Amino acid sequence: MENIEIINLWKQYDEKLEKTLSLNQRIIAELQQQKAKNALKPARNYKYIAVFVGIAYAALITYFLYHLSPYGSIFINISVAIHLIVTLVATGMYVNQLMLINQIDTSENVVQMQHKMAKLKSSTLKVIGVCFLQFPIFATWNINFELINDRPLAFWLIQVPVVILFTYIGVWFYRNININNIDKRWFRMMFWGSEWKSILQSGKFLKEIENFEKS
Amino acid sequence: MQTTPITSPDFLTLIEANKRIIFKICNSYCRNADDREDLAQEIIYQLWKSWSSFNSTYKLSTWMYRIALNVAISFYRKEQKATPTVLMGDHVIEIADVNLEEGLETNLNVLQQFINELNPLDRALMILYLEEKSHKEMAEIIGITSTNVATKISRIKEQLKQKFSNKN
Repeated sequence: MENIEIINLWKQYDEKLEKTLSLNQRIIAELQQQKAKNALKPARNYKYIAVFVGIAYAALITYFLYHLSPYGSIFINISVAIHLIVTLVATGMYVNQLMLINQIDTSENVVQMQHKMAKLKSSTLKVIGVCFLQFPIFATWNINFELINDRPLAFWLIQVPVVILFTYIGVWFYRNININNIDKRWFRMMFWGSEWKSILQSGKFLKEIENFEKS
Repeated sequence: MQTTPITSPDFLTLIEANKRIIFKICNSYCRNADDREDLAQEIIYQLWKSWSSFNSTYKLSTWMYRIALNVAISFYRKEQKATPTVLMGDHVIEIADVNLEEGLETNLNVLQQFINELNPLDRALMILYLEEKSHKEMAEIIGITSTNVATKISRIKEQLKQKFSNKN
């Protein structure tokens, strides 16, 4: 079938539709009220909750850090401070996502709008990557001067290598949890299950959009 | 916030004039009848929401296609419905029984199947091509260069030709 015949086929279909389609104005009238009422905006609500929980949690850590730091060792205080900073950065990233959601405009060109949507969805992976930066604190909070002074071998041969290993793991995940690795086995094992499916699909779609723009 | 009622004559005229394209986009992005109805309602609702902010530097059709295709692609990619159908059993765009000639119906089915097999972005391009939009307008709607549009359309047409020749 030639191109012109295909176009004509579509035109014939269009002519048939012209005769057979009719608008149901009653449903259109209902749409204004019902859609506004039922607009769940799940992504936005979920992020508002994340921001609220993040701020409340950061406030709690700050409170404990301020009041209890004189009684804790410098190592535990630094560990908690790192945890606080990471929590604040992650919360800030959710605030940024909320701002991006509000900027989404369906009348933008298709590539631009779909790119924004997919990037927004897959940006949850970035938050997880940032959270991994606090991984070393699991090996630093229990360090104290007694350990350093009284058991130097245990400190240098066990504690320090564990801190280095945890730092390496944290930085590695921070750098590698991104859409470029979504097809890798370790990534699929880490993010399996339905709750991750849509985020991973958005990552794949982001790649598709980028290829679509190039070729 | 949109203050014009959804039933304003201007808006209804816009939907009336474009009901066929809304219907065809819904058909191309949803196989299931309930999903098609949800998508049609979502497109009309989003068109209404953006109606007051319509930028007259663009052609009305460019604006309309951008919204309809963006909503359809986002809907297609979602696993679950974001907003439920207003009234089950009723359709925002009603269709009377269509009696198509056998040959026409068969060819249309092949064409529709071909469109449904394309990825969501190529599908948008294919619809615009069938609607005889110029490369310039397609580029404005999709957001790629006119040269890129021409390359992609020629590739898709080749695949389509192949599809019809395999059928015969």
